[in-house]
Amino acid sequence: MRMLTLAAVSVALAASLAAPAVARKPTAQEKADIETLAGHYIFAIDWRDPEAYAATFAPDGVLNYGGGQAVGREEIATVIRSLRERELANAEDGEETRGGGYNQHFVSNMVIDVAEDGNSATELAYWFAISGEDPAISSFGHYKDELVKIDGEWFYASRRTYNEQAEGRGTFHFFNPVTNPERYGAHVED
Amino acid sequence: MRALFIAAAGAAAGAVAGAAGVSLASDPPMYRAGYAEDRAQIEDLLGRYALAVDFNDAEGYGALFTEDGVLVHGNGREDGRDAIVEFASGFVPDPEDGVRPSRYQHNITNLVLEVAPDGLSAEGVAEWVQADNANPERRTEIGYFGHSEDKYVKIDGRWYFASREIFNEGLARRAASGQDNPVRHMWEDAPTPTWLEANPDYTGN
Repeated sequence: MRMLTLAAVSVALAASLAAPAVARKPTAQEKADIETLAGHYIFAIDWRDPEAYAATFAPDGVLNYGGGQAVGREEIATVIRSLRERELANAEDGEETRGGGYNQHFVSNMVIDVAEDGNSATELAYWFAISGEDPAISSFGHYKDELVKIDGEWFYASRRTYNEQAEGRGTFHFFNPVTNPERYGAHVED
Repeated sequence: MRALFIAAAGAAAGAVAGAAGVSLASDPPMYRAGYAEDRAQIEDLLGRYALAVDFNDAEGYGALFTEDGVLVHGNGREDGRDAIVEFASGFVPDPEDGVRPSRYQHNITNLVLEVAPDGLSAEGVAEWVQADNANPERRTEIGYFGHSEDKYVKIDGRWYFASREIFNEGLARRAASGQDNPVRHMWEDAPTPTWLEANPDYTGN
């Protein structure tokens, strides 16, 4: 799929961040499928389900997040497995119950462009997370994704998470990422 | 379906590394042609649900369920539309203790939805969060959050809730923390166990 994307975009260096050169809006079916994928991703992260989380990525998918970069499903699953183990280890007696790091993410405002051939897409989406027994918004940001369709099913070829609370994971305020892809990601280290 | 997932999880390392990967949901996935239209209509149903709750519209709320629909909520269970409407009639704003009536607002996102091959029933899980300003200063707060496990049926071309199980992480009796990812248990008769069911000695809220 990455080869397909590169071929379609033809500007190799920009390929990983730019929308497909020849892009169109998603069909209803594509949007529905990609929304479903987003739901699977969020349930998997919120329930700390490493295999289901990794399964939302292509086999050679890339996750770029606050803790670094994971390549391939095994490494990506390990990110969630480590998070789960860390939370369980940190849970104190009587606290490994309803707290224990439980939080929930919410995704909205998806902007999707699909390559003309329908086999790859780019996506921007907002997220925020709330947590705690006295719940509050704990963080928010957005996702910048490349998607690929394999055997009729969409996967994340790459997902880059932006978090406005985390040093180095925020964005410029005055550049709408939808219309300023060339300014994109200036605050994120590759 | 649960057996399939357990089998898949048992071979976790191999499955994750394998090119075929892990099934995201049912096997095979139920995203047949027409899925987009069903999903759009069910998203509309969820939108109507949130608006009915937030604007205290008991009749509108009940109309989203089948005549024999089931609602499981933080304080119990309602069987049938009449009982659901009566329950929803109890939605009232908080006391007039502030500069203006308080409001609450529900957002429902992250919908994972599967439609049966015949297109007449569907199951979904989704997450919800309630923002409110139910304090004297009308300061915006997050009140509750949780998820729902829903069964839908299509009757005369229109989708309804056949049953809706609401989980609430602010209530031990309706919390699902510590349980499996509910996506792995779609199409099972039993909903996800609540945290209290798994921890029966707990005596808190």
